[in-house]
Amino acid sequence: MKSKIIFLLIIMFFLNGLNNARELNELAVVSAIGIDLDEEGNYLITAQILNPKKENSSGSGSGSSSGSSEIVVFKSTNTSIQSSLRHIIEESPQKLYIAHMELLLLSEKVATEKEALDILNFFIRDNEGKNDFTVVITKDCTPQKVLEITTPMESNPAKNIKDTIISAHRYRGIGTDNVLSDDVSMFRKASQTPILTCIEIIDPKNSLNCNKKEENAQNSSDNNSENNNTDNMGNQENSQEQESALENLDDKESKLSSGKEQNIKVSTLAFFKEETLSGFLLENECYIYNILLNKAKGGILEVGKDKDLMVIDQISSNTKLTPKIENGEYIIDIFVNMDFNITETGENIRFDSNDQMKYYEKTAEEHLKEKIEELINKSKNEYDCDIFSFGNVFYRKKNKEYNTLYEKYGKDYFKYIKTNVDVKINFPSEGGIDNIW
Amino acid sequence: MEENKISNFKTSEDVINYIKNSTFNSKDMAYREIVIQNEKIHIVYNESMSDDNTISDFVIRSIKNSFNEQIFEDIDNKIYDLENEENEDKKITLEEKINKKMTKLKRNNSKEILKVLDNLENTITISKVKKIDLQKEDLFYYIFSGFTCIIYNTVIYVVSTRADLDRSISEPTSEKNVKGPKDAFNENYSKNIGLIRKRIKSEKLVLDEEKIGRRSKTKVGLMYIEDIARPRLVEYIKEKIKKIDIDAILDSNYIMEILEDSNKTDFPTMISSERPDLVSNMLLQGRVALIVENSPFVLVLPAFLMDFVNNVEDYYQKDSNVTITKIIRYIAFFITIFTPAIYVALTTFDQESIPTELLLSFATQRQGVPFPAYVEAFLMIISFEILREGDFRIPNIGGSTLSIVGALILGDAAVNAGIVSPIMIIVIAITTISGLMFNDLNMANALRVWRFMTLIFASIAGLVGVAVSLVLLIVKLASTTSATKPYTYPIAPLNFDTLGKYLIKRKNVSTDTKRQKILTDNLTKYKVKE
Repeated sequence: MKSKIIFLLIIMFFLNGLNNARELNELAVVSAIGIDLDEEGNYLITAQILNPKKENSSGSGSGSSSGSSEIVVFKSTNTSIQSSLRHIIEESPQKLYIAHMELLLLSEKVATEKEALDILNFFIRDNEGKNDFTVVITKDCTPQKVLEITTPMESNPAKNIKDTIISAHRYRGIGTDNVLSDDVSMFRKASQTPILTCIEIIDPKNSLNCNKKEENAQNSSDNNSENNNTDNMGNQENSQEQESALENLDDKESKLSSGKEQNIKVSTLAFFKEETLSGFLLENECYIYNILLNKAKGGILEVGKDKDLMVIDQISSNTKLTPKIENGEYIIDIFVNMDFNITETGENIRFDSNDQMKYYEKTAEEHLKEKIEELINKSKNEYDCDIFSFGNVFYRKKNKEYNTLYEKYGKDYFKYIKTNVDVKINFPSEGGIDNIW
Repeated sequence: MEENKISNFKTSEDVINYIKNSTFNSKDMAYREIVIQNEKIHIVYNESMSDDNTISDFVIRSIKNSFNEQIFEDIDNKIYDLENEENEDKKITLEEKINKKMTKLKRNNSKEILKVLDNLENTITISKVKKIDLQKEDLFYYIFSGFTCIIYNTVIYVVSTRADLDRSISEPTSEKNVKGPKDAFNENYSKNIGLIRKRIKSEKLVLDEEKIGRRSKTKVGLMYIEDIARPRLVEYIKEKIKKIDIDAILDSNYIMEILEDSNKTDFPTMISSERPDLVSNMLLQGRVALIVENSPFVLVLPAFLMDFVNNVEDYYQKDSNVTITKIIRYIAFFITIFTPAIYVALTTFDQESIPTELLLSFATQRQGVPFPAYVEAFLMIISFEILREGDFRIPNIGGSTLSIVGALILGDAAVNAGIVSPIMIIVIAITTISGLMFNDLNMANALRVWRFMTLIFASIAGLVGVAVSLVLLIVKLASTTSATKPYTYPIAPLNFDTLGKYLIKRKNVSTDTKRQKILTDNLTKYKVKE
C-alpha cells in the first residue's frame, strides 16, 4: 500500500504538466486593460503587458544582471471582452495573465453607451482575476493613449497611476480609492450613485499653456515673469521683440519634452446614473463630496482671501447622515465633524485668545457649510443626480419610508429631500507657532 | 559441555589451555609464567588492551615482592625460633639452618602461595583487583577489557592494567557553543560518567549498569536522579534495555534505534548530545540518560520537539535577549522546511499571491532557464546536500577547495550558465542556512526529509499541496511519542504554564521555581529564601 502511494506521488510529481501549473516565463503579466468602443460598437481592448527584460550583463561589464521591465501594448477588437482578450494570443507568445492587473480603464464612450456592470462582468467572473484593481474613467482621452504612455521613472506605468490615484485621494481628497469589489457593490446597492475616478493626460506642450493660466488665475499676486512667458506662448508668431524670452521658453519646452513627454493626472470623479456615465464633478467639488460621504482622508481648505487667508489641513473627518421624516417631509441631517491643522495664514489672522480661535473655527465652519450646501443644490439642479446617495441613506436606515419615498416622487426623489447641514470644525492647535510675526 | 570442562579444571595449565583454545591462539594474547619456589603462577593478558609498564611495574613486581616478604617474614620467624631453640648442632651456620627450614617450608608452598595471592588484594598497588569464579563470570570480558589474569591452579585474580586507548576530554565538535562549559563526552565510559557526576555531586544520582551485546559486551549506563525521575519511566527504560539481544553495540545510536522502534518518525525522539552540561540539565529535569561505552554521545529521554529547537546555551545568556533568539529559531524551523516548496508553489501555481514587482523580478530572473521551477529546486537542493555531505567527510585540508567549488561553481557559474535562476540560489541558500540552526544531525536530516516532502506536494498541487504537507507534518509530529510522552508537548497536549516558560521566552532562573509536571512529581526547583 505504502509503495503504491509513493509510486503515485512520484508519477504525479513528474506528470505535473497535466494540471494548471504555469511557469513564470509562460505568463504575460497584464498590468492594465483599457476598454473602448469602436465605431461599429465592438469592444476595442488595449492590454498593457509588463515585459520582464533581462539586461545582458556580459556587455555592460558590471557583472550584475538587473531586471527591468518595459511595457508592451496589444490591441484587439471583438464583440466581447473575453474574445478580444483571447485574440491577443495571436500576437503574443504567452497567454495573458490578468491576476496582477492594477488598472481597468474605461473610455467615456464605453461608459456612456454600455452598462458598467456588463463591462465589469468578465473581470468578476474570470477565475484568474483578482478584485483589487482600480477602475477609472479616461476623461477627454482614450484608454489606448493612456496605456501607451511610458513613465521613465517607474517600470510599471499602471502601478504608477494607481499609486497616484491613492495618494491623490489620501492627501488631496479627490478621486476614490475604491477597488473593483467596492465598485461592484456600489453598482449593486439600491439608490446608490456609483462614482469612479477620472484620469486625464496632461500634454506638456499644451498644458504648459493652460496650466500656467490656471495658476495665474489662482495666484494673481506673484509670478510676473511667468506671466510674460505664457503671454509669449499665446503670440508666438509675432513675437520678434521678445526673442530672448521665446528662446527661454523653447528651452523649457525641450526640457519638459525630454524629461517627460506626457503624463497622467488624476482629475475628478465621474458619477453614474443607472449604470451609465452621466457626468463629472468639478475638481474642487471632489473634496467636498468625499467629506460628505465620510470618505475624506486628507485635504486642504482655503478660507478667506489674501490677508485673511487661512489654509487648513485636515487631520480627521467624521460625517453622519441621519435621515428623518417630519410633517411628511424627507429630511437628512448632515453633521460634519472635522479637525484641522492650521498650516498657512495671512497677515491679519491672529490667534491671541481662545475667542479668536473660536471665531476662526466659526469662519471655517461657515465656509465649509456654504460649499456643502452649494454642491447639494448643484446636484439637484445642474447634475440632476443623487450623487450623495441620499436615497441609499433612507434605504439603509428608514427602509419603510424609502419605499414610500420612491412611490411618492419617482426617479427625482432626491430633489425633494431636504438637508440640514451642521458643520463642526476644531483646530486642536494654532500650528507650530502662536502668532505670525 | 563447557560448564563441565570448567568445573573439571585442576591445574593452571588447564585454564591456560582453555584460554588458548577459546581465543584460537590469538597473537595478541600474552602468557607469562612466574616460578616461585617451583610453583608456577601464570599471568595472562591481552597485549593490545593492556599497559605493559603497569603489568611489569605493578603486577609482576607486586607478586614477587609479596612472596619475598611473606617468605622472609616466615624465615625471620623461623630464625627467631631457631635462635631460641636449644639445638645441639650449634656449629651449623645460620644459613644452613635457613636452608634446612626452607625445604620444610616448601612442603606447604601451595598453601602459602594461595595465602599470598589472597593477600595480593591488599598488597598490590593497583586499585582494581578481583577474584573471579570461572563458572560464574566471563573471564574473556576481563581479558579484553585490559585486565591481567593471575592464575594459580584454578584460582584466578584479575587486575586492571588497562591501556589508555581514549582521547582526552576536548571541546564538543558537533554542538558548538559560544558561552557556557566547553567540555565534551568522549569514548571513555567512566570519564563520561565522571563528567556528569562532576556536575551533580549527589548520592541521589544513580548509575545502573547493563552489559549489552553478545559479542561487544558494551556497558550501558542508565543515569537518573532518584528523587526527581519518575520510577515508572526508569523501569520502562530498564525493561526495554534488558530485552535487547544484539551481537554488538558500536554507538549510542544502536540503542536509540532499538528503543524508539515503535516510533515510525523521521524526527529524533531522543536527545543525543555530547555536552555533559546539557545532559546534567536534562537529568535535573527528571529525564533519564543512557551512557553507552565507546560513544561520545549520551542519550537522554524522553525528548520533546522543543528540546531540539531550543538550545541549552539559552541558559548561559541573558534571559530577556533569548526571546528573539528563540523566535528566530522557530522562523528558521519553518523556513528550512517550507521555503523551496512555497517558492515553487507561488511561481508555478499561485502567481497572483506574489506582489507584482516581485513577480516581475522573479520572471526576469527565470528568463532563459530551461527547467520548470520544481526541477530547478530539486537540482539545487540535491547539489547543496551533496556539498554538505562532502563537507562532513572531507579532511580539513580539502575544506577550502570544497567551499570554492561550491560557492563559485554552484552559485555563480550555474546561474551564468542558465541552469538555475539566481532567485533559486537565494531560496536554497536561506533554506540550508536555516537548517544549520539545529545542531542535532538527526533533526537536520528529518528537516531535510520534510523539505523534500513539502516540495513534492507543492509541485503537484501548489499552495494547497503545501497546506496538505503541513497537515501531514503536524499529524506525524503529534502522533509521535518519546518514552510514552507526547512529542509535541507543550503544544499538542497544551500546557500554558510550560508554554509561558519555554516557548517564546526563557524564564529567569530565579523565578523559574517549578520543574515540568510532565517529567517529574518533585516540582521544587528553586527555593525562595525569605
